[in-house]
Amino acid sequence: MKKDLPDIEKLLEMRGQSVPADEYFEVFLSDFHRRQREDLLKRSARSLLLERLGVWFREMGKLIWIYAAVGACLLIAAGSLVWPGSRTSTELPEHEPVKARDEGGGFEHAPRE
Amino acid sequence: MAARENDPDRELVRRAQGGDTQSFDQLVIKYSRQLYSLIYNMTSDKEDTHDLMQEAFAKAYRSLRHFRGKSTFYTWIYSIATNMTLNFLKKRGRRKGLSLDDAESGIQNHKSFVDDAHRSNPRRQSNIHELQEKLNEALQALSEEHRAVVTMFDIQGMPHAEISRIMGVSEGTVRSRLYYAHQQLQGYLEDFRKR
Repeated sequence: MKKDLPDIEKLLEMRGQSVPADEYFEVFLSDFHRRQREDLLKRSARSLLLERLGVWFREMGKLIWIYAAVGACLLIAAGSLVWPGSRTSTELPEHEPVKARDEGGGFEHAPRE
Repeated sequence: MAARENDPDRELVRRAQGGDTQSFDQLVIKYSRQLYSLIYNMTSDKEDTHDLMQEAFAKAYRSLRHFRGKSTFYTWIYSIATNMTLNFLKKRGRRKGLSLDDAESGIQNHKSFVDDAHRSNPRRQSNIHELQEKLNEALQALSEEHRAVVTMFDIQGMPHAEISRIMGVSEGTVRSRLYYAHQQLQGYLEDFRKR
């Protein structure tokens, strides 16, 4: 029986003190800078633009919805003004003859001989 | 926000958010040792630890703009590193026969275990060495989540509340995971002690 051995808590605690020497962390930081530069170079102009747009949208927050709503209203208003088929349905075309209607609202049939 | 006010890194974070890369470097220097210990004890691999640490700090740097101070920077960077490591371990699966580098962990050479009496007792030194290897095996046999909790609580000495914030689980879950993990480890080592 190996009773004189350290207990589990002590063994685990010791692990926390086992980290590499300071030199390792200096190299680590240099490596971090190098990777950041490489990452920056790898990213294309398009992805940078998309990222900037994404950031801009996030920073706009609630304002973006207000702008979007106002923009949509303006688009609808402009569209209704310039769209050619936007006449009111109650108007009748002037170049077509008016069909006679009977009392019941149906079209009048020619009398039989 | 209470976390923002109590965060000792508030000023460094604010400056880093403003584009001061040296402030972020200071945060890297401040936390890299602790994160190394966390990741290394979870992965048991030096290269994986190095890469995961790099990725964790790179992710933190990219996301720093969105860090609102709802937690301290310390909790935030730990959450990033823990989640990244857990995802990595799940993808990697468990490697059989993997153990921490004995020479690096150096427990058998720690002053608590090495004194004149014990130095002259090679048998005890050999037992400690063997016990450490057994502990490595036992740690690797735990699930990733249980190993993470043991690493943070027993190895890094974090309180339950901090672990629960980092892992996004209740304190009760942290305690129960610890209890289960300790039972498992104890069982592994008891067999060795009784031999």
